[in-house]
Amino acid sequence: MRVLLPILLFAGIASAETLILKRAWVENFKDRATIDATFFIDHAHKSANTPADDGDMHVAGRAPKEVGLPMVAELMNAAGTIEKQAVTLIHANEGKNTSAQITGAWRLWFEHPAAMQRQFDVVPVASNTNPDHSFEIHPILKYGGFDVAGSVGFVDGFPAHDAKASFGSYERMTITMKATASAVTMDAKKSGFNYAVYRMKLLGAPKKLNDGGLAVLADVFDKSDGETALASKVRMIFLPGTGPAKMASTGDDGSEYDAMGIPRVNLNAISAFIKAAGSTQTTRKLPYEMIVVALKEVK
Amino acid sequence: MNLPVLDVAIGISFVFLLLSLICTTVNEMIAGVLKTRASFLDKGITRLLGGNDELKKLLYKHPLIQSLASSDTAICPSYIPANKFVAALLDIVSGDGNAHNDVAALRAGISKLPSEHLRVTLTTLLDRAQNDAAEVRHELEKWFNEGMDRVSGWYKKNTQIKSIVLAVVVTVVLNADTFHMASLLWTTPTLRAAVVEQAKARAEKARPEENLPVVEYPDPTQPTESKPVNVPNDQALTADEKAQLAELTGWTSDWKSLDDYQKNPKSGKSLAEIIGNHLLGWIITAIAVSLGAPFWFDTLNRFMNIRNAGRSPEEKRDKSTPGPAPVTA
Repeated sequence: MRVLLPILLFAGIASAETLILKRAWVENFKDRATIDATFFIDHAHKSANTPADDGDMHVAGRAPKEVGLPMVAELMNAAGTIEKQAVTLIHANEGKNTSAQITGAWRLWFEHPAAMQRQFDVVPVASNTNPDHSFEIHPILKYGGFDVAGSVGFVDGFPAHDAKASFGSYERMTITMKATASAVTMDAKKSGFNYAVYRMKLLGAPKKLNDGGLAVLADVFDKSDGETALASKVRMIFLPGTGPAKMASTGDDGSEYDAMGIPRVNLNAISAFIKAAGSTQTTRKLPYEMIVVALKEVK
Repeated sequence: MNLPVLDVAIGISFVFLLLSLICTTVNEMIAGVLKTRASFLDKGITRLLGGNDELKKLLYKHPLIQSLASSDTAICPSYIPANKFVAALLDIVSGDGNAHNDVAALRAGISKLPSEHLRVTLTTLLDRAQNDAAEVRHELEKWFNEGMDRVSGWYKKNTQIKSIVLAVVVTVVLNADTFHMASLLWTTPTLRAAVVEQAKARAEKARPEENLPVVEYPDPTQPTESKPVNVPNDQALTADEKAQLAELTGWTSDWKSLDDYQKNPKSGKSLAEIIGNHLLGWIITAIAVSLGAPFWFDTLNRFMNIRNAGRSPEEKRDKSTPGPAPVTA
C-alpha cells in the first residue's frame, strides 16, 4: 500500500500552462480591439510565409512597458507593397535593440505557451522567431510609421481551418482562473486553430470599442452549409481602420457574413467573472472571441 | 482493466477528493466571514501610505474607490485597479480645485503630508518622473502594483497555511488514515466495489463547472455588457458519498479499543498507541488533501480512464465529445 501515494501524486501532475496577468492590464484591454506598444524586434523570419502557409511575416520581440510578456507579432499578407516596406524596416531593426511603435490586435491565446509566465517580469530577449509565448500582436496594423491595416483580409491560396474543427476545439477548451487583488492566474492547455473560416449571423449592430474597434455578438455556423450551428453569442472583434470593420459597421441584427477569424481570450468575460468570483479558483469553458480579419457579405 | 490495486487507488483518490472538497468549503466560509481579501488589501494600502490613517480614510471615501466596495460598511473594496487608486490619490494630495496633471500642486500637497515615509516615497517617484504628469501617473501605478504584488504574496501564503491547517484538522477529526483506508479497501472487495461506483459517479460529474460559460451576454446587442454565470453548489457531498466516507474513516473502532483498554489494559489500545498507529497515515492524508480538490479531480479521472481503457467501446464514455447544443462563449 505504501507505494500507492507516489503513484497517486505522479498521476495527478497537471499538464496545464500558467499565465499570470495584471488585473489592471486586463481592465485596460478588455474592451479594446488593439494595443499600441514600443516594440523591440529580436528575431524576424527572413521572408514572409508563402500564401499557402498563411502569408504572414513572423517576428519575435519585446514590449516591456505595455505587454511585459514574451511575445511575437505577425503581419498579414506581407507581400504587399507597403507591407514589404514595413518588412524592410523590421529587418533593419532586428536584433539591434532599436524600438519602433507598433499597433495591432492584442491576442492572448495558449498556442505556444510556456509552463509559467508572469506579466511584467523581466522579459528575456527572444532566442528565435518563435519563443514560448501566449501573447501576440496579430495582425499588425501599423509599424514604425507604416500603416499596414490594408493587409487585413483574405489570403489568396490559404485555406485556413474549417469552422467545424476550429469551433469544436474552441468550445471544448477550459480555463482555470484564480484572482488576487492585483493579478489573475490562468491555467489552460495548449490550443491551436489559428485561422478559422466560418459563417456568422450578427445578433445586433456592431458597437464601438474604446479604441475605435467594433464588437458584436454573433452565432457561428459551418461555412460549408451555412446551417449547422457551431457556437452562439460569440464576440466578434473588428480592428479599427480595416476593411472588415468598414464592412461590418453597416451590419445589423440578422446580417450574414463569411468570415476568417483568429481566436483570442475574451478579457471582457474574464474581467466580469473574476470580479464576481473573488479569489475562488474556478474552472470553466475558456471564454474566447474572434478577431475578424476577413469578411464577405452573404447575399 | 479490473485490477484490485487500481480500484484501491481510485478509492483513495476519491476519499482525498471528498476531503479536499470539505476543506475548500470550510476555507471559503472562513474567507467570506473574515473578509480576508479586503483586510489584506487594507493592510497593503496602510503599508503603502506609511500608516497615514487620515489619508487612507479619505482615499476609501473617494467616490472612485467607494463605488468599488460591496457596501458602505465594508472596510475597503476587495480589489482596487491601479489607475483608480492613483487617480483618487492624486485628487486628494493635489488638493481641491487643482488639476491631476498639475505637478507643482502635487509637490505642494506631498510636502504637507504628515507621514515622512510617504513624503519621501512620493517625492522620489515624482523626481524619477522628471515632472512629466503622464510619467508621474505611470510611476505611481507601478508603485501601487508592486505593493499589490506583496499583498498577493501575503494572501497566497495565508491561504496556503490555512489550507494545510484545515487539512490537518479535517484529517484528524475524521480519522482519515491513508494506510487504514487503503487496507480496508484492499481487504473488503464489496466496500471497494461500492466506493469505485461512487467514485465513477463523482468523476462523471467531475468539474461540472467546466461545462458552464464564464459569462453570458443577456442583451445580444450589447457585446460589452457581460454578466457572470454563477457557480452552482455542485461541490457538496451527496448522502452516498458521506456514507462511504464514514465507512472508510471515523473513530468508532478506536474509541472501542480505547474503552477496552481502560477496562483492561491488556486488551485494547492506549491513546498513545492509537495516535502512534495513525500518525503516518494522517500526515500522508493531510499532505494529499492540502493539494486541493482540482488536483484530485484530475487524478481520479486519470485512474478512471485507465480503468475504462480495457472496456468495450460501448462502455466507454468519451468526455472529449462536445455536446450537441452550442453554448454561449
